[in-house]
Formats: sequence, structure tokens, C-alpha cells
Amino acid sequence: MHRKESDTRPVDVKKIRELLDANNGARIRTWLSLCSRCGLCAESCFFYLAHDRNPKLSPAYKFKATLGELYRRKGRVDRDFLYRCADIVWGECTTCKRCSMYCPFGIDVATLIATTRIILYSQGITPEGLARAVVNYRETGNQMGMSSEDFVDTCEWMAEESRDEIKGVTIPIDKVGAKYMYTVNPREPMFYPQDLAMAAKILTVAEEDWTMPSTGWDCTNLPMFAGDRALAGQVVRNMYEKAVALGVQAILITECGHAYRSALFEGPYLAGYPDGKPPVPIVHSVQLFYEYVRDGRIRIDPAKKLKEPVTYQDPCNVSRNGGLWEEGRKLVQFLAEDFRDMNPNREHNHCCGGGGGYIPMGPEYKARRMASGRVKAEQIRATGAKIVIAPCHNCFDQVSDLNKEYQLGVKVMSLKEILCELMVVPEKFQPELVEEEETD
Amino acid sequence: MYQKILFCADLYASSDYAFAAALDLAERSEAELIILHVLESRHRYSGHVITEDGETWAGPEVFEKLKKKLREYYLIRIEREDPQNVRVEVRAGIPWVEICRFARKEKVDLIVMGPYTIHDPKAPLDLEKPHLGHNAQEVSLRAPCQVSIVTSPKQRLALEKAGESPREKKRKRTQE
Repeated sequence: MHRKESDTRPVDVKKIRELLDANNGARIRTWLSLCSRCGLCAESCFFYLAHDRNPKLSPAYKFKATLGELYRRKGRVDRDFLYRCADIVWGECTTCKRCSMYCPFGIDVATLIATTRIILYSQGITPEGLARAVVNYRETGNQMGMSSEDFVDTCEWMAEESRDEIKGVTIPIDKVGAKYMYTVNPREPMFYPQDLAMAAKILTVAEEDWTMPSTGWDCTNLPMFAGDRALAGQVVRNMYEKAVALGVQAILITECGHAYRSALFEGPYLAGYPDGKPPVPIVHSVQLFYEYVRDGRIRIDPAKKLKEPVTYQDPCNVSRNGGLWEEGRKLVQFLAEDFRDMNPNREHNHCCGGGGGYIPMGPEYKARRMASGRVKAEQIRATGAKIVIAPCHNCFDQVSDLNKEYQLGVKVMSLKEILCELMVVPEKFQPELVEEEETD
Repeated sequence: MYQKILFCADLYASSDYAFAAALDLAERSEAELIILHVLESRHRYSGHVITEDGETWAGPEVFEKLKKKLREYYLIRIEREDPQNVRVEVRAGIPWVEICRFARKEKVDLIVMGPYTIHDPKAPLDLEKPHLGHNAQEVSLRAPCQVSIVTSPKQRLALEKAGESPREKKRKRTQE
């Protein structure tokens, strides 16, 4: 990320100092002073591994060269320095938190990077794609700028379409007292509404008590990655407050990684909940779908089980940071006859390279995204799998791009589409067939 | 007969026959003809699109540039000097999704489209194996109205050359 010549705005040192002071607690002070340059974090970072072990891509270097320098210089920096920081914190880190697992001191590098992003945002610096999303969130409450009317209309459309396959499918809107309030990534209704249809089919066959909210339905949180902390808090608060108002038992998150991170453990702090807990439990689709299949609420047709070799992409925020790596694997083993794990896997799995806001940052970052994604591409190729299951939209799009870039020859699929293909539809949900007249 | 006819434009010659058919039907029915082009999204879940300038955001500038191109390409094929009942629209995303969404929202009576989109205009056309592309298949399955998929005479000839038509095969099976 380079400074445009037209960007001659002065650096607001006072504002930077305020943010540095506000974050100058024991945690960050300790982390910044404790790093002993042992290098263990370097070997854990896919950016470092994908670029011939360039030491400038080690996590320790990244936080020392950005937030560390900002503290050392007490915020007295120029605009070129800020752009160099931006290039590092958005272009060379997806805040996947893998390095924190390998740091002997448990330094949370992602938090240090996120703090730098907040400082840069305060100076008007953020990638264009994230800036676009921030405007949409502010104006409409969701990242795609979709109106509630269009959203509800899309739900009706998908319910109609689903009834061709599953009798009685509805997408209940704002149902008070439902068990689950299903929240989605706005890219579903905007670009691939069939994702909503698939969820409706699964929840119908499982005879779930669920609803979709007419507002607060966006569970994503790109302001969290853009550095707009106040808006990030508002976004997650919209969802929490709607869940409380509807009196639902839990918020169900679609197959999205960072939405789970936001709703489950970053959101309460962003929204200012003093106990750090969401007001209602948060359940991810991976967990619920696993429970459905395990408990027989969704039955898999054994004849339809995937025959081709299958691997599972652990989304960082579902597996490593969300703790659902075993649920994901157990579910896949119900669906596939030949499951082949990546190496490393589970909480140790590498980020695909599309997380932390990277995919929404847009085309200008694509070449770098493809270069750093080489580690994931090699992991996938080594499994020999023909199908990659990616229960996260960013992973899905990134692995799809890697598939083309590195000619992996795989098909990328979501859990929902596999479940819809494989599940047994009980007779009561089978639509009445209209006998076709023979015409010639 | 029809009030609104939606022609799905891909700006390639492969759908010129479909455009001619849509125009003919619109004129006979005195219907509005909507020319819709969907800028294909690079991903399933994001709005980056492919244009002749490469991968980019689907912003107003991109839309306006494309609308101009669509007008130049299609309106020149309309004999009347100033066609009144023709509208040009551009959307971004997965083509079949946006076509179905548009048809539903605009309550169109008929969708007219070519059999497939040429993704690489430099690649040679294999007319010996005419087929329905993914978008044509999905639209014909999911659209809320009638769908007419118009092939070119060459494709029809190629079908005949390739062997028996599906209708002929069905007739033989019935006789057996």
C-alpha cells in the first residue's frame, strides 16, 4: 500500500498518541517488551514460508516495525511511515493467530496488528475494499448495502425456490421466541442467495425452530478488520440486540469464519459488554450440522456419500480460534468415504490467505494473495483430494482462486451444498410430483 | 402477448440469433425489451468482476462504460432510429442468479438467451458439440417465467450432423 501523491493530509499525532495511550495497558506493554526474537513465530507464518523465509515477514518483525515503532517514536511519524505500516498490517498479515500458538510467551500478534490497524484508520488509511464495506455498514447496517426490503424479498424468493425440492420450506422472519436466529454473510443474499435456500432446506428437514431477523442479520464484521473499532462494536451490537429483542435462545452463524470470531469472542468487547460474553449463546453452522447428523436429525444417504477423496479446510476462526476442529472432521467423515486430512491440520492448519479482510480488500491485493496462498495450495495438493470442503466464504473464494492459480484440479464445496445433496428427505417433506404428460 | 421481454446479452455473436428473436417477439407483442448484461463475478461470494480491463470492482463507472458498449452493440441492430421501448441494464454477480433475480423483480414474461456464453473469445468454437451452458441450464430450471434459448442455424446443423436428435431418439425408444 503506497501513499498517493494526492494524499497530503497531515498526520494527526495527537490522535495517534491518544490511541497509543488508550492501549498502553499491561498486556501490550508486556508483549512489546517480552519478545526475545526466538524466531518460532516466523516458522508458523504462511507469509514467511511462502516467501523464502524472508525475515521481514516474521510476525515478530511485523509488530515491532509497526506498533513497536509507533510507541518508540511516541506517535511522531510521517505519512510515508504510516503507509509502510499499512502495507505490513493489511498486506502481510491475516490476523490468523497461528503465530500466537507457537510463541513461547503467548504474544498475541493479531491483537498488536489490529491495534495498528485502528491507529491507521484514525489517519484515514485503510484498503479501498474495506473502506467501501465500512460505508455500507454505516448506511445500511450490512457490508453489501442491501436494504431490509431486498433482504426479505430474497428470503421469500429462496423459500419459493426451495419448495420445489422440499415441501413446506419457509424462511420465518422475526419470529419471536425461536430457538435459533440465523444470521448470514450479506454476500449470500447479494451474490449467491442459493446459500440461504440450502440453509432453509437443512433447517426444515431437521425440523428446527428458527428465524431470520429483518435487521441485524449480517453476522460479518469487516470494520473489525478495517480498524473502525466503534463501528465494529455497533455492527455486532445490532445483531446481539435483535436476538435479545426476539427472545431467541441462540444466534446461529452461517459458514463464515470471521463472523464467528466477531460474534463469539471479539464482539462482546467491541460492543462494550463488561463481562466479555455475548448476551445469547453463539452457535456455528459446523457445530449444529455436526449435531444434526450425529443425532440423526439429518440422515445421510449412504449410497450418496462422496466417493472422491475429500479434504477439509479448517477456517482459522472456526477451528483454531473457534475450537470446532473436531466437529468439522467428524461431520466430514459422515459425508465422505475417503477423508484425507491436510498436514498440518486442526488448530495447526495454515490460513488459506483470504482471511483477516484480505478477500474483501479487492483485486489490487490479488497477486499477493495468490503468492502467499502457495502454502495452502501445496497442502491441498499433497492430500490428493478432489474435493475441498470450506465452511467459510473467504476460504471458499480463496481456495477457488488457488485452484485456478495452482491448477489443483479440485472442486470447492460448502457443507450446506454437500448436506443438501446427501441428506435423506423424509417422505413428509417430499414435494408431490406432477405427472408429466407424454408429448411428442 | 408479452409485456416485458428480457434478453440476456453477452456481447458475443453466439447470442446474436437470440437477440434477433427477442427483438422480433418484442416488436410483434409491442412489449418492452430489456437488454441485460451481467458482469460475471470472479467468486461465488464476492463482487469483484471481470471486465476487458481485468478484475475490478463493480462500481458505477464500470456499469456506465458497459451500458454504453451494450447500446452501441445492440441498438445498431434495431432498424428503428430511436427505439423507445428498449432498456439497457447491467448487473454484477453470478449471471444465472442475477438473471433470475431481475426477472422476478421486474416481473418479465419471457427470457430470451443464447445457449452458452463464450468465456474466451479467442478459443475456437466447437460447433460439432453444441451444448447448453451452465447459465442457460440454471435459468431454464429456475426462472419465474417462460425461457427461450435460441441457437444459431449453424448449431442446429451441427446437431443434425452429430447424429440423431433427442426427439428422434425418443421416437425410436417409444417404437421399441
